[in-house]
Amino acid sequence: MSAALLAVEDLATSFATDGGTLRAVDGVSFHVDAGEAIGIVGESGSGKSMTALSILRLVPNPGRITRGRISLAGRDLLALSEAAMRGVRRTEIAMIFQDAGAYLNPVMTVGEQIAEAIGPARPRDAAARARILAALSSVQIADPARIARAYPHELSGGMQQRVLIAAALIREPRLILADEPTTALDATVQQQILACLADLRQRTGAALLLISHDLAVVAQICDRLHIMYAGEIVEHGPVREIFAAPKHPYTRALLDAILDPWQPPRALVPLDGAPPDMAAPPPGCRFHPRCPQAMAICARTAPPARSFGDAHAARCWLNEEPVP
Amino acid sequence: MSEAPILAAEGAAVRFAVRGSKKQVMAVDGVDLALHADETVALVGESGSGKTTLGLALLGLRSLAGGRVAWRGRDVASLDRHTLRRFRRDAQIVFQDPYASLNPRLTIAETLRRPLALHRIVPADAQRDESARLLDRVGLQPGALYLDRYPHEFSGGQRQRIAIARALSLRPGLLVADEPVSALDVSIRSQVLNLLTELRQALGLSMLFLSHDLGVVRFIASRVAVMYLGRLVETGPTRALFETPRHPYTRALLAAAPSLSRAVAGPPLAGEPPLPSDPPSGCRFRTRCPFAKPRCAEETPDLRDAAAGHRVACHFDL
Repeated sequence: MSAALLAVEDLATSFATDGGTLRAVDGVSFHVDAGEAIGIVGESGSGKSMTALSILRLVPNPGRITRGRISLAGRDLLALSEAAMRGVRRTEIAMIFQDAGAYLNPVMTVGEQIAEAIGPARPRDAAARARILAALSSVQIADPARIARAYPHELSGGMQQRVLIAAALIREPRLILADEPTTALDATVQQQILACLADLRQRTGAALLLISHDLAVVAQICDRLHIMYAGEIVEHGPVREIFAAPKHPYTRALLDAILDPWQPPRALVPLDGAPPDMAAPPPGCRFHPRCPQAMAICARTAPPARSFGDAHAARCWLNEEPVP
Repeated sequence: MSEAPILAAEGAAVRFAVRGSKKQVMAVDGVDLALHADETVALVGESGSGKTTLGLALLGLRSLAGGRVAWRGRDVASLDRHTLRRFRRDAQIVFQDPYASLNPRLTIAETLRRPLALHRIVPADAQRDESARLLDRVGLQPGALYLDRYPHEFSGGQRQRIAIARALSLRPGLLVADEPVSALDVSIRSQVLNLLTELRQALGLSMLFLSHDLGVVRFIASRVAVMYLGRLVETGPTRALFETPRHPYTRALLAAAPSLSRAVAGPPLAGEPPLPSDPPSGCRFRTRCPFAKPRCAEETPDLRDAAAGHRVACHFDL
């Protein structure tokens, strides 16, 4: 087995609240190999964004990483000093978020912000300028010199997201961490940004960890995907296998909920209920209160992980025979 | 159809002034759109297309710079007070964001009681029972249990059900739903889409469904109108429009929609939508259209019949 670029093992992140301890992420393990694109899919509150913030050690107060290991190229990120971690965020892991406008400084030009991303010294020579313009061209901005002089409010949402990607990638990170990068964008612009991310990945060889609520979007550019529910990964595997033969009822429900405009409509059979309160998750399998196939054991004992081939696994009692 | 449509825009235009400039934005520019009894029309467009503005104009909530809105054959701008009240009761709206559309300081009972009282739907002593019945109707059962709670005690999907119950409280004939499921998680989205379909059939509602999501549109609508920068570019029965889209913009939207039935997505549409304050001359889509010819810059194409009930605003048969 090749050493993973990013390895997350048994990660748990909780929030102490008045209503009790909220286990946002509870025992999550996965890895990203160099150059690989993997996706984490889940609904609001599933813990997918908190997983990303944990990797960056940017969990907001009162959240704490309570358990687990996160290593990047063999280095234990949880053991690094805050200063060293800042270095990791600046040069090794690039972050791209949903609301690009909120991550751009409104009183600095685009060019100045990308210069700042190069380094705290903010070089202003011709070489730095050429590098900034090249970064803007690399995200398919047609007129980089003009955009470099523009302020964020003068740009559309799609352009702002491109600028954020250009700034994030200028240090040639090994891992791109993108949390819902296209969710706020129109479909035609979403398609452009996804194509841009796929192209950049091919040219730079960076790995991608894409976090999204949208299975169809993740399927377009990822090799493997992880399905999260109530703080846990319930199924993971190669995209094709998961789409062809999902092994968890929640994955199946997510697939069934996709409305494909290229296919005649079919009846929707929605899941009942809503995801659990993470301060008091249900015992046993956390999905059992909404599961159309729940059995007696599901309410008592959490199901073990069962593998299907090398890279595909799911946690569900339906996969165990005989059912205990 | 001989009967007047429930609601229709006829050459409707809405203009906005641009702050700090003499420019004006034609958010809606000469749109004809009719909603007949018992049908669900989806109005599709990206941000800036003008679909929300058109929806609000149809409800009489935006004043027109040109054209008119007709409710059951009558010009909404010249209704007398009494008839205007009936129009307001008949035409209801559900908004996208269920976190912003419910007053956080009011209990659900109060939120539902106000319209019932204003329009004297039921006597004062029956309002609470009616409110509970409405919650039952939208799947929050038993409704009586939820009446004294506040919006923050509900999830997004539940809040959207409450917003739907409020819209239904006045027993409307038509509902404008502005991206009603866009803010919801997929598993909850299916619940709300099924609820809207079931209510529409059971109550005989006509629905104008505004959405950017083509998958949702194909599921819910009987007819579709596609809007780009304030103008309709294509209208037609849902099946015809999805199986043989005729306008290059409709095709680009479909190509951009994430799909599981195609291995690869279509090539992305080049360029960004132009600013609504500075739209291109002629056909507004021509700056992004792969088929644009010189004629497209000079002449604005009007909607013309391309097939039965299927209309397209393009100079060419593509």
